[in-house]
Amino acid sequence: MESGNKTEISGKTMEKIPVTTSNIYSDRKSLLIVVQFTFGVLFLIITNYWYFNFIFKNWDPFWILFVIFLPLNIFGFIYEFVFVIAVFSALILKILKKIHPINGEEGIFSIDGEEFKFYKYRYWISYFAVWLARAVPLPWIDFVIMKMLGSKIGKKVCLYDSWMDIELIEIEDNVMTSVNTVIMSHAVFQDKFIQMKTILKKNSITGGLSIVAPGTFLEEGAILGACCSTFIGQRLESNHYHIGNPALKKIPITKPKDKKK
Amino acid sequence: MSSPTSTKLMHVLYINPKIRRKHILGYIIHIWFSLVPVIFMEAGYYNFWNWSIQTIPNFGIWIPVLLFPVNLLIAYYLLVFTSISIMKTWLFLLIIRHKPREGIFPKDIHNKDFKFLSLRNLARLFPSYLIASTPFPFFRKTLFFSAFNIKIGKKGINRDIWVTPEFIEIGDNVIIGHATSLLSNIIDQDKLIIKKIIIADNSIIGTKSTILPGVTLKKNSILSAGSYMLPFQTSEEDSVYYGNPAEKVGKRSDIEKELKG
Repeated sequence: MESGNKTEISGKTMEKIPVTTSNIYSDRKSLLIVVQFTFGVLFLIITNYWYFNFIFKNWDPFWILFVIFLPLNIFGFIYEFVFVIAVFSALILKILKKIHPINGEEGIFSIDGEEFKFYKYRYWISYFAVWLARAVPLPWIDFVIMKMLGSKIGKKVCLYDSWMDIELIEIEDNVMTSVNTVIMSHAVFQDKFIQMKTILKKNSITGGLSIVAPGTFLEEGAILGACCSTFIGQRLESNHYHIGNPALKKIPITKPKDKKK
Repeated sequence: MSSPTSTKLMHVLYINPKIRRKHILGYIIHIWFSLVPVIFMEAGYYNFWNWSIQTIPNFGIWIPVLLFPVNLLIAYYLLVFTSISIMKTWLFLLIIRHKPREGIFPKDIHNKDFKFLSLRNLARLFPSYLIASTPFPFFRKTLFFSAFNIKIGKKGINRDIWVTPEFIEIGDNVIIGHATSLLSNIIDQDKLIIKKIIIADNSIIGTKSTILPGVTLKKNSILSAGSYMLPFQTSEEDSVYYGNPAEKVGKRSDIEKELKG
């Protein structure tokens, strides 16, 4: 089943394979964060220089303007810094995808192969932008930046502070993920690397503190219970609760009318 | 991959509130003295700014402007290193007064082990906060682990985890998934339990798992995602553990055969 670096996943039961992590070893590519930081700070200085230069030279009549616009300035700095870095990293990602097109194939690859190399590049390019989006108290900035960087997120989605991968995740409309959930699309071992798409269909829910392994498919209306986890490649049935660690037990969702009957 | 930065990824530092209130002055002095070198550095930068405007006629201002991001980075790392050096002197004095030791102690302010644990954690609070507040990749391993006396081997994935900074030993090439907690001291109702955690070479810990005091994970063992290892539990070599509490599920060699196909 091995073809070079890759082993196929179709037809395999991945129930027994343990779920690890989507983080990677620290690398020199992490210096991209410093490049993005310097670019963001210089952009801020160059765009705002003329305003502050004018006010400090004509301090006497215009100090009132400085005081009045200071809160707006601070908010403007934060927005500008975050969006400049997000746009910068999105552009680098686009250029990278044109030079070496990312197939996004599903399978088990070796760590020495090309697929893992590009995963490392994508990880470090998007790291700082997403870190800022989560660190800054601006509403809905999460969604905007994740969409810019390549994940597909629908409308009316509730993403509480969850640990989420960015590539190969599709979330449709009206999905709710709860506090502190982990949604993965990659799993790293010492010599292997699994890459699979995770799809959350409409109206599905993942409970609090749950773990969604790479490759899970939540059908419409499926619910994953709190503190539960899925195995790699699991498919959760629509209109059922799934409980367990891994979530093997399922209970159909009944409406109040059915109970009365 | 993308961690919620609202969950501060600092070390796990338990500080009793009464002890914190008694010794708050020491904490404020710690912050004060760690800011002093930074203020001197910024004063020197301000002089450099004025000198470059005066000596170079037209473009004098651009040199300090372009070096401003570098100034910010150096100021941040200077702050971190001075706070770590103050932390180390304070810890040295506390350890001379009362050496940390393993065991089960009562949760009582007048008990020396409990009291000095809170004081040691108060000394570590400010540097730990500073390190967790930025994503820069410089000196990551030394600042997070070695500066806090956590023994860790070469190569490994250990980002985005919660760790208590005492009595932990991690081997070479260990993968620790994000959102895990390695707790070597816990408070169980009215007792304080302190016991060493040992994680041997080549082992894997999945995401969002918790490891309690006294656990030893032997070589090549895997702990799957979302599992809990109870206090004083030891694993076997080359084995896979899963569940809450963690139970042996299989052998690592079987899983590697499945991954190869």
